[in-house]
Amino acid sequence: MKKKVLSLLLASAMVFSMAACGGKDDGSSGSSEGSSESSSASGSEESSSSAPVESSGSDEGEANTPAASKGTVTYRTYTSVMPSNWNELTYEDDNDTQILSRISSGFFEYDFKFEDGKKFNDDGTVNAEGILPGEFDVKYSAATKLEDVTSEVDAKWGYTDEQKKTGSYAWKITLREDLKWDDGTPIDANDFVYSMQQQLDPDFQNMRASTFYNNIMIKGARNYVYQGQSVWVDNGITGDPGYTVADLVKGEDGTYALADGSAVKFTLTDILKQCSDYSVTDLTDMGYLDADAFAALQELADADGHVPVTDETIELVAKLIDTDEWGHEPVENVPLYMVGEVTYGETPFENVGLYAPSQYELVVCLDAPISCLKEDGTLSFEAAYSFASLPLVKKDLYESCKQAPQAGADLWTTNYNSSLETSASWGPYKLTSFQSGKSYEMEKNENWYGYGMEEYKDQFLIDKIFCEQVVETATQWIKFLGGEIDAIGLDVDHKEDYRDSKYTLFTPGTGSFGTMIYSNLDVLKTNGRNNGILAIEDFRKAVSLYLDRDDFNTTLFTSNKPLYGLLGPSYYHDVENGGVYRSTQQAKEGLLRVYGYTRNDDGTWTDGTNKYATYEDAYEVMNGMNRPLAKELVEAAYKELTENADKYGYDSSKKIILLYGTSIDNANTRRSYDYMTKFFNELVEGTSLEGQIEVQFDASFGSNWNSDFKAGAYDLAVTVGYSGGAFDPCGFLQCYMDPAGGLMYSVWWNPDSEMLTYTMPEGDFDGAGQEITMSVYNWYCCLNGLAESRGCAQTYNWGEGFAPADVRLLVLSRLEELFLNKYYAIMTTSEYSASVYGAKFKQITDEYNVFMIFGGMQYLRPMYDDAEWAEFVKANNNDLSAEYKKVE
Amino acid sequence: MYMFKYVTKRLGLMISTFLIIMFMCFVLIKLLPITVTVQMGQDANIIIRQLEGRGYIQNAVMDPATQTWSYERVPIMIQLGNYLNRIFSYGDFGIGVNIPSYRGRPVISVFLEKLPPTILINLYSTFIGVPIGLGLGILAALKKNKWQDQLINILIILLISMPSIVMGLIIQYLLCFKAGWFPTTMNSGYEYFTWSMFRSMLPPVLALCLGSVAGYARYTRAELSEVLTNEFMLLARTKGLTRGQATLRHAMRNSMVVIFPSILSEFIGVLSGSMIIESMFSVPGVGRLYLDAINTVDYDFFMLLSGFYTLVGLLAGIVIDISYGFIDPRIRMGAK
Repeated sequence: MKKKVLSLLLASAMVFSMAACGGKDDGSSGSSEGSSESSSASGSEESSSSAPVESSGSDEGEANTPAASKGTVTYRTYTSVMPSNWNELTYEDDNDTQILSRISSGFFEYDFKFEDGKKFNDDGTVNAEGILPGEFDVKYSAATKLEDVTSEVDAKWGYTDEQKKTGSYAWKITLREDLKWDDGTPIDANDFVYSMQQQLDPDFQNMRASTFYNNIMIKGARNYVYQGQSVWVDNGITGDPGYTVADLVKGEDGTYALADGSAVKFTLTDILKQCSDYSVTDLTDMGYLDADAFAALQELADADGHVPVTDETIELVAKLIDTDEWGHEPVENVPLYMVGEVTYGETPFENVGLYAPSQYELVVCLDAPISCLKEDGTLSFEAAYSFASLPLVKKDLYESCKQAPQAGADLWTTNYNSSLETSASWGPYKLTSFQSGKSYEMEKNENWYGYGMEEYKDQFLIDKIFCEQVVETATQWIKFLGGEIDAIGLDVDHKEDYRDSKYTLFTPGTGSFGTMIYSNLDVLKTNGRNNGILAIEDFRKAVSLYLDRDDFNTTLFTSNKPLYGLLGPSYYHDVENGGVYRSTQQAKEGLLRVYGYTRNDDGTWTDGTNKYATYEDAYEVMNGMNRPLAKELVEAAYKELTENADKYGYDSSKKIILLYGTSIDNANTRRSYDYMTKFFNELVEGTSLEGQIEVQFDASFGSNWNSDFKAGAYDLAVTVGYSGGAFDPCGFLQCYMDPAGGLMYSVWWNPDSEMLTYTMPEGDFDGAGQEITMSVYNWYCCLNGLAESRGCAQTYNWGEGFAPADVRLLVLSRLEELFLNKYYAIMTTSEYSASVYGAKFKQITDEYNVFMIFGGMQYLRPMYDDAEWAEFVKANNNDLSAEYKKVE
Repeated sequence: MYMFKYVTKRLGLMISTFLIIMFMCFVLIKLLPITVTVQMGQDANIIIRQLEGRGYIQNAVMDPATQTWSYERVPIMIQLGNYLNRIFSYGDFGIGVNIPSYRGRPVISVFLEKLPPTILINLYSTFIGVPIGLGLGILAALKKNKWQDQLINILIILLISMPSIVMGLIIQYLLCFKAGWFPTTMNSGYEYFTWSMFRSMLPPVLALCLGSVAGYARYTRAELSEVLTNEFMLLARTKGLTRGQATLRHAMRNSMVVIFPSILSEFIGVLSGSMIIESMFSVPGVGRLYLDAINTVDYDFFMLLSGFYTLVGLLAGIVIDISYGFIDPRIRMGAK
């Protein structure tokens, strides 16, 4: 479950413009936003008002002791968008997880780490003072045992001897025997198997099915979902092993096909993708492509750019890639430019790698290993991160919620977990009311197994959770200051009043945002905006070096901070040892190089003007700016542009138009546009381009803003990016160098043709000590343990747990640096959110913990019950603003 | 008889207009580009297959080199046929697919669930606003150019010039937050006819009706002032009616020829809800629904709401026209 929630977080966002739930920064948002209710109450001191609180006082130990509640304790929160579908199989976004995360449980879960392992005080309360900052523990919850059974499972799963030796491919999970639904119906392993079958049911095409073949790669899962479908699969980037010409079968008409009769073709788009920014004409002019061969292939191509594979076309492609400029690619590589049609045949569910050998045991067989156990046999962070749970639906209810396809359609749907009547819970809370577009209420699920466990003693002290949809920020604040809701996100309008409040806490997020610059020359030179200059790297680099990121964030956001890399400060490259990626030498030195610093032979660093004794010193002063160099680069770009005007489609009699695109026209996007207009004017001031650039605003892209940018409909996508899983910085690179993921903004760049050579350090891992040359995409796949399953040319496995953390760090920082040096993405903004937490509740700790945040609902300490809180608010004349403005 | 013919003819025209508008709506919304947004953790193939499975697109093919999909739109006339088939065969108006709060929910049930709060808020607003507005207008007309008239005029100008969003904020801040007389937002639940629910509805009702009060008062004052100077009013007084009787029986009735249709059209107009007021007071009404349906290109919501509002608008035109005949017997619709 947690894995799915985290992967959902890794969602694309246009910060200024999309709708969001409450509880976050500036009205900034995006699908990466969560609801305010994920947070808890705060305040390190007790209120000075006449509160009947037994635990008041300045002593920290006392302050963390919850009020011995005499009555019901309700946590009241708000959301901007109501959840509509909290079905584990189909949920779509963070809004849905508001309910889902409370009605489901995990096999394994994170917990605070306590000093000397002492979680409880002698009186049975949680030892709040013993919480170790920044550390974590992984514990069993709905499961009691986890075993690596790779070497024991049936031969039909096809694990090689090597894989059996390595392990981590097949896992046996032993479930607790007291798992129940909220109505008391028992849950066993067969329920998980049934649920997985429903999850992958091809008739439903459930949204979350891909979790089990893209993230947790269960054997046979993709085949089961895709059965009956035909797809074209690239022979270069595939989930299948590559084929050669010898593997193909020649038909009577001279056309080759795959051995099973499936069609195979050349794809011209694949060939052109090797050439990044250049058009066909440019390529032939430069001698890169053999013009005759390409023209002949074009004549044979269909509308999709596919060319039948025949002896003639094989020769043409061989000729095409055998030019000097191309590098005389050997004829053996010709099949790499083929795509094969794959038809997924009928797959019985028995071929999916999830089964129940006994009533309370589940076995999961994976294509890609996940390292869930540490060497000492305890649970690794991966267990709770990647493998926390599997989907679970209540069989009888789910069957009754299935809905047959409508007329003219063939898609089955379900309304399971979309209303009170269709909901079932096996988590700590259950839904007790739901009014669409208005509110929902949850109460404790007395049948939850955790309430009987010693481990959960003195936790889950909230009796009820009430959430109301409140869209308007002004209304949210009136309700908060009137004591009607218990926490609120700090926005721009209230930042001055509450930023320094003792009730305000800042939470670093994993959102990494920047300005994406459209750089595909083929499109730029024909878009009518005369802006082929964007394809010139020097110009994009100038943009990066001129931007004052500190000023950018201060001007446009409440609490976000400057970002210089692809990854912000919340990402851990070495989770087990608390290694924060951004704090490492490798990551810092990478950024120094990107922003124009060089390392001298004596180990000192220089930015061209100043000298720094260590990389730390240089990093300390680095602000991403080198304005004199930026001006020089603008001049250089202008020179390139004017000297090759035809190549860039440049008309010197016209202005260069940079189109600022966004999804909505509001105060935030207008403020951002004004900033960018001023920025570009200043950038070219005093250069040959002064007065030649005009930034225009277009807010017509709506929900298509992402795809429209990729298609070149506009040039500047400002403050867009992704939020990822804090423990998976390597996976986050998917957003920038995995074309198969569909997330890349810079779709014109082909990481599969960009080669990188790197000498790996010595050690006990695959490829240690070797100088390795492979494509960026291949490096990315190796780093994430995907190379084998994706059929890459090199199949090193440096996934989490399969290569030392410092080795993974080296590769990660190298890839980050490589992409930043493309200047397709000018990173600017690291997500920070600020929330004001009411006085009714208090977190168990004010120290932010990336695994536990501030303890969440599990550890929230009520300071007042509902009746007491009403008295407290009344005593403050229904206006808590004075209280919430207090500083420490 | 001529009235019957007139109504029949208007109904016939209304149905044809309705069908043409709905046809245009269907074609135009279907002509909009289909958004395919793939986020982390999602499989583009599944999203495309869902669109295929819903009968929106066909022959979807992905270019493995560029990772882009190409597909054909299912012919719009075929989609229209399927849509009508679903409605007339199964009473199925479809399910929401794109509006985040209503994904997977039958559009008709969402709409019917959200209509009562909107109707109630606006009914209460009319019930409160009309008598106060008419009363103020009558008083102003009767006391024309005296201090009472001046005072009412000042009030009218204040209320008319204040946008409902400002009115809502003032009410919310003063009456709900500072005075604590009302809850900040409307209560949850479906028990609309309890005192607690009514009390929670009063802030949005006031925010809606105060503007209307000013409008009604202004209309009434203007119309009544003019009617009061007519000769038939002098006749009424000379035949022995008191000033009050003459005003109520004769002057008001004549004034209503203009005022009543405005009340009626305003009431019908408010069926669509007030997006701002509903958002501000968390009224679970239909205010935002139409806009959300358009913004997110949610076909089934859009068609249902387009049909409803088109029908309401067309019916309102007929009702208002017919109402003239009842208010003023001299007006006979359709008579030659």
